[in-house]
Amino acid sequence: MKLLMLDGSEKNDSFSGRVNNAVVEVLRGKKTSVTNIILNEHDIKGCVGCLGCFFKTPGVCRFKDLIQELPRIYVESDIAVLITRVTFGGFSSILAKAYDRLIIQLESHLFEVSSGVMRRQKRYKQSYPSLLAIGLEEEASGENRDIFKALVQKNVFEHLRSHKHKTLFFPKQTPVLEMRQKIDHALIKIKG
Amino acid sequence: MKKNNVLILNGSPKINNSSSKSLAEFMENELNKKGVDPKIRRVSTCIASEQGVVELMECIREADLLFLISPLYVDSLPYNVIKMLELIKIYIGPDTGNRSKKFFALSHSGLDVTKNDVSVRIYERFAKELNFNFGGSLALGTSSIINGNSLNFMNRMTKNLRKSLEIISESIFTGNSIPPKVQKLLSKPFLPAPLFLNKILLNATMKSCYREKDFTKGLAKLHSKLKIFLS
Repeated sequence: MKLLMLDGSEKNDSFSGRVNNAVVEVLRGKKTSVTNIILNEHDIKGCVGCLGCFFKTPGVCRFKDLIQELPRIYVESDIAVLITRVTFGGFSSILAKAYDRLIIQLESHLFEVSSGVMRRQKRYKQSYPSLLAIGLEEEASGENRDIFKALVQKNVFEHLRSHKHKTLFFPKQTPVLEMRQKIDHALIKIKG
Repeated sequence: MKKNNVLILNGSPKINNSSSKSLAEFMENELNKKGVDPKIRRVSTCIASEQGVVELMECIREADLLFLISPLYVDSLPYNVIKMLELIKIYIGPDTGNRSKKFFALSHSGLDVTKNDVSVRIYERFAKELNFNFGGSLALGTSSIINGNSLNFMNRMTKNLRKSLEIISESIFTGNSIPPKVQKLLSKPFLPAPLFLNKILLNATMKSCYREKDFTKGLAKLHSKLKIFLS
């Protein structure tokens, strides 16, 4: 099994470091190849909305950095894991910077209508990986969680086309053991 | 409303053909007509340097009213706008002074207006967490048609949009909240659906022919793709 992990945390964020480690620990000895990308360690440019990846160089972003390679890794993976601080209910800016460019490279400029919703067509025929979105919180907030869940669900339906997805929330004080159990349970659920 | 205390934030990462820029400029003109002289700041430029961030935060501290205009990126805000909101949280935080500042947000999507459902909630959440006096989140659809053009130039097509922005600027001037009819007006598409689809189809034909460097081949390729799409 192949797993791609996109960690959108700030530099020296020990909390997200613990979560990242927990995912790696859960997968140890499970015959899983993990591509663990800690986004703040890379110089990544943000999407400038040029739409070059639709029309000029279909499927390839004009910025030559890690994100240009990411669609291939993403499509080959069985599970994608996103780690982000819940920022007013959305993703962190570090994750959004990479995520926006990844998603747009995975989509065609053509549209389709599904369940009455207009969305862009998938660029690649392969099935896209299942998704585990992990939201990190300073303290648990029901309102933030609702928005985060709605965002992940909308992304999955309109862009990611993951067959299965799961959202987890970890407030800062969550013990590591509890994290590992929840992550393990979620991975089993979306893998099956 | 005092002069110069309205800050319009253009959240688009695009430099050219930016719909947010067109909307911001139209708002500026409308406010100018009422004797209000708003400042406009481009978020991407401001957050690119440390000095820019300090200046932007100073502008926000001084402003009585913030009006953020931003495109929709993957059902949410573009990274530069999220970064700005994060910076406001760090530099200004949930300051009690924020209560006197009104915060409005306009999220616009290239497709239908419902795509903005999540982003408007994020703006509301931001205002609530940092104690801003939230004036409302507005959602606009099919904004890709603006494509950096002046709204006045697109006369008939942007009639409802211009009317909405006029009402918004009036609300800003008088200090009242934005009436609910504005969202109804903003939800009306610029073009009837068949015409909008025609425009998309025409664009796709042009691009396909350009890529194939041959009109017939381009048309044939598009036709085969459409057949898959329609089946």
